[in-house]
Amino acid sequence: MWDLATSMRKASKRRQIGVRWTNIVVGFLFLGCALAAHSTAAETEPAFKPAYRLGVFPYMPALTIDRLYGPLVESMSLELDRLVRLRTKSTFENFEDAIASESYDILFVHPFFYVDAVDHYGYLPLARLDRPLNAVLVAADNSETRALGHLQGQTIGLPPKLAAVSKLIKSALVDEGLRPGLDVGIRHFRNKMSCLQATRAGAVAACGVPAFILAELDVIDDGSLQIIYQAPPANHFAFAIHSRVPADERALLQRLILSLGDGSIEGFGGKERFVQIDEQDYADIRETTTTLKTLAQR
Amino acid sequence: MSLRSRIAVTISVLEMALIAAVLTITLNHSMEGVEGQISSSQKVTIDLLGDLSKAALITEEFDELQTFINGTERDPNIQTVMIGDVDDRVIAATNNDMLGAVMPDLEDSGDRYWRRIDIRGVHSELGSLAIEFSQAPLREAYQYTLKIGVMIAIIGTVVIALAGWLMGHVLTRRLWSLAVAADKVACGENDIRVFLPGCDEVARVGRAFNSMVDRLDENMSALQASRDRLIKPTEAISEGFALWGMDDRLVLCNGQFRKIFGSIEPDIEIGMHHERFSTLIHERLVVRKEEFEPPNNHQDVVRAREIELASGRWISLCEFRTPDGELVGIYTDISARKATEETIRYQATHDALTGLPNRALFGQQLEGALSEATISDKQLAVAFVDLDRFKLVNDGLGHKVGDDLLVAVAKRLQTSIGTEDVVARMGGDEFILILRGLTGIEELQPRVAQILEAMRPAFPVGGQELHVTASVGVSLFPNDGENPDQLLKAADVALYRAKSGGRDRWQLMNRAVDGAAFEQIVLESQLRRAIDLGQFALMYQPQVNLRTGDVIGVEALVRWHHPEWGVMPPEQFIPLAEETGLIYDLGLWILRAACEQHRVWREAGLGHLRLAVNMSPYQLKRGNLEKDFHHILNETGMALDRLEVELTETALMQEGETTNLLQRLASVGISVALDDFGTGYSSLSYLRRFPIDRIKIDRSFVRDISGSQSDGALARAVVMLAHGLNVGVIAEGVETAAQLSLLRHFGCDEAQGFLLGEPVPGNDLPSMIEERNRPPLERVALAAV
Repeated sequence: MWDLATSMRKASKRRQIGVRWTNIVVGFLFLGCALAAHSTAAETEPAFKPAYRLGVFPYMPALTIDRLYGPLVESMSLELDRLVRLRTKSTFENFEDAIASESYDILFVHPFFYVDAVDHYGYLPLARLDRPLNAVLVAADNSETRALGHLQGQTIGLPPKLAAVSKLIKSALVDEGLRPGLDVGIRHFRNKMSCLQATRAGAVAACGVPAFILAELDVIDDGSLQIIYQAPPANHFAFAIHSRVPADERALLQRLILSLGDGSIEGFGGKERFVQIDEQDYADIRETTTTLKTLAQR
Repeated sequence: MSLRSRIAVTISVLEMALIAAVLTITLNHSMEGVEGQISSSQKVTIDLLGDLSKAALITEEFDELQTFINGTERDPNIQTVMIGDVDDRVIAATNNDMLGAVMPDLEDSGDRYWRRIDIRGVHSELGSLAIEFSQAPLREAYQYTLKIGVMIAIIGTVVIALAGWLMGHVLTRRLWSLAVAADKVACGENDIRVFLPGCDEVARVGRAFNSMVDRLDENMSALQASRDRLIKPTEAISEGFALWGMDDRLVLCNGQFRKIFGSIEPDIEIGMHHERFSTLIHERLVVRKEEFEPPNNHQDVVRAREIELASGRWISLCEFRTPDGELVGIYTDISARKATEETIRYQATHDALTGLPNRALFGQQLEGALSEATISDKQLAVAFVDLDRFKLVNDGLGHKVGDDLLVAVAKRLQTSIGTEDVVARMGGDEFILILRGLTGIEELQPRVAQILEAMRPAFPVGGQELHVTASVGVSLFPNDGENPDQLLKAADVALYRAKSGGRDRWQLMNRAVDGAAFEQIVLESQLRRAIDLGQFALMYQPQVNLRTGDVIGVEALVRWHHPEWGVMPPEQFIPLAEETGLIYDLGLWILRAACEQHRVWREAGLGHLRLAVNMSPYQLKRGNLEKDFHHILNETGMALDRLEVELTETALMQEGETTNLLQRLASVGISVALDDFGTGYSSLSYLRRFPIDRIKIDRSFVRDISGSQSDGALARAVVMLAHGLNVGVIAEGVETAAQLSLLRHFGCDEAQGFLLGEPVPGNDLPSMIEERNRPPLERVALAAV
């Protein structure tokens, strides 16, 4: 005769055995998942840190920039424990596009590009050169042109259109009441020497260049050229860093840049000193930019 | 190769070597330059592309770089250019399909190879540059340079070879004319001179050549004069004389040389090479050519030989090298001497009367025939042919007719035999033949019958027709003997039997019949032939008067010098001679020979010697003995009173005719001695009936005369008996002094024997007698000397 109690005990016992086996299986599954998760985590962890790209304004040939900025880039890499690659462009326009595309992690650009990058793209101020940018306008020594006002109806030579000096001189012309391109003809040269040579030859009435170049070329002392205008000093080149760079690394880089100038590295940064950027440091640049944009819109 | 060609070849070879060296150096240098250019170009390309790539990688602007790379397609040295970024992605390439792809593995293939360099900035790696260069331009440049170089080399070689040939032609033209002139001089044209103007080396050689020819001309004249002086003495000699120079060319020869060899080479000229001379002789030589070789050039060797030319002339050549290498030849025409030698040799081997081969030649021919028969496994026959009663012809018609008959018989025999058969004359009327090619006895009969038939017709000799027959004895090889001697004996025996059988017949050796008596018959035959062959000789033993000791006579003793058995005493052949009847002829020969010898002694002052000759009783049977006796005694001039005939008792037993004969002999003064007395009947009646002058005591009694009393008594009785009958006594066989003493004591008159004198040749007897007659003291003195 069928014993209900017995059957229930057997059923209870079977359930107990089933629960016990279920616990073992679950335990193994848990352990397997844990190991798999650990393995996956280990596999997804990058083997190395992606390199940062330092974009340097192409105020010199790319190879010269590489030579000058190589030691600095190496210092950055060491500081960040991450590879930093130096990049530039062949033209100012291309570089401008690169900034616009935010392809660089770190920027070292002239004031106008700096303002543009910080104001319109995801870059943050990092440090600026601790010296001013002086733009001057020189004319031939025997030229009748002695002041900005004499440029009316003449053509002057300037660096490429997007160069900082060009913007500063144009701004000065505007301040003088001369409309660049209308009252004063503008001819952009690819390099400073050709512009100065054209001035000396009388092809242009004057040439706008950074002030430091005059000392290097000794064109003033030899009496062949004369400074007819000196623009108000503006803050010089500056480092900016993209906001995607972690803050700790931004801080590391800033500390590195601010520590430059002691001659510990060769090339650029060996003797140049940098300071932190104040928000008002480039106000006049922003103003000039606005002026020139307005002028251009007109 | 001519000098001209050598000059051209030498210059060409030198030029080719020079061009090859220059070409190699130039090619290497050129290729080094090309390689340097290509290497520099590659370096420039790599540097330029490296800088461009570096700038492009820094600026990440690849359009200009790509444009520049596209431009490299025009560069044949560059096949492929790829530039990769730091992530090894192709950012610029000659093949646009590669853009964005991972830089492939670079493998060299064929004459293409990759150069890959890393592009680094000052701080970091920027990317990589890979350029595939091609060696095709280098190879093409090499091939082009090589082709040009080889063309230049070929053209240069041809040009230089032509120049060399022309130079050789110019240089050797005058040498050629010089060579032509030298050849003419070599051919004897001494008036040749060359004209080579100028003052260079060739012109100088030309002048030297002319001077040399002048001197040569002078020397030739002097040489000719010298030669004439040399040849004059040689003209006086009978031999041909020739002098060949060291180059084996004829320098001089005398007239006799030209005469000897004129028939061979009518135009013998000075300068003729000895080889040519030898060839001329070879072509006319009878003997083998290799037997005539000139002496070795480097040795002083004498070559002497006699050669027979096809013309029949014999020439003696004696050539020798002088120490200077010249060849001297002495040549003599010895044809006459050779002819004489040939005659002598012919005479030595042929019968002088008939011209047939004689015994000696026949022996050689028989030896050869036996060898051939042995090889060909055939038989041959030896046939003795003896004319029957030839002696009658010879004695009756004279020797001249006899000789003519023999010549005629010889011719008949020659015509009656085969071409391969041989007929020879053995002597007298005996001929011997070799009949070859017999396969059996049955073939023998017709051939021998043919010989006998040939004798049937009469022989016209001496104006008359003579009929003679012949007996033939035949032996067969190999049945009757295997060598000439055996066959001749067998044929002789057969002849004997043919003669015995009635003559005019032939008899084959029959061993069944003649076997037992063969040796006897042979001996008879030899004995019969011994007289003709001169095999008998006489010895003379002195007979001494026992009272005076003087040699008062000699006994003639015959000896047979048998060619095989040596000297045979009479007792070995006399009985046979008596049996065969040959004793008669032998006795006459003995008588004649002894009488002739006595004549010699007589001339030597020994004519007083008594000559005792033995006579056989068989001689007495012949009726013509007395006639033959007289004939011989008359011929030899023998003093009859010095001749004594020795007879045995057997002879005296033939009474009648013998008694008369002895009495007739005694009547003319010939004395008679009774030989061997005491060994026969010793009948005293003989002493009474016959005119006996002397009794010879037989040696058998004398031998034991001193030891045997009876013999001594017998000897004494004989002496007394003889003396009683007034007959002299002579003892023979005295060999000891005792025998001699007893005989002298018995009163024996005379004696002979080894003690008193051995038999000696006739020529030795005078000296022997002189020795005996010398006084004893003198003999001793001579002996001491």
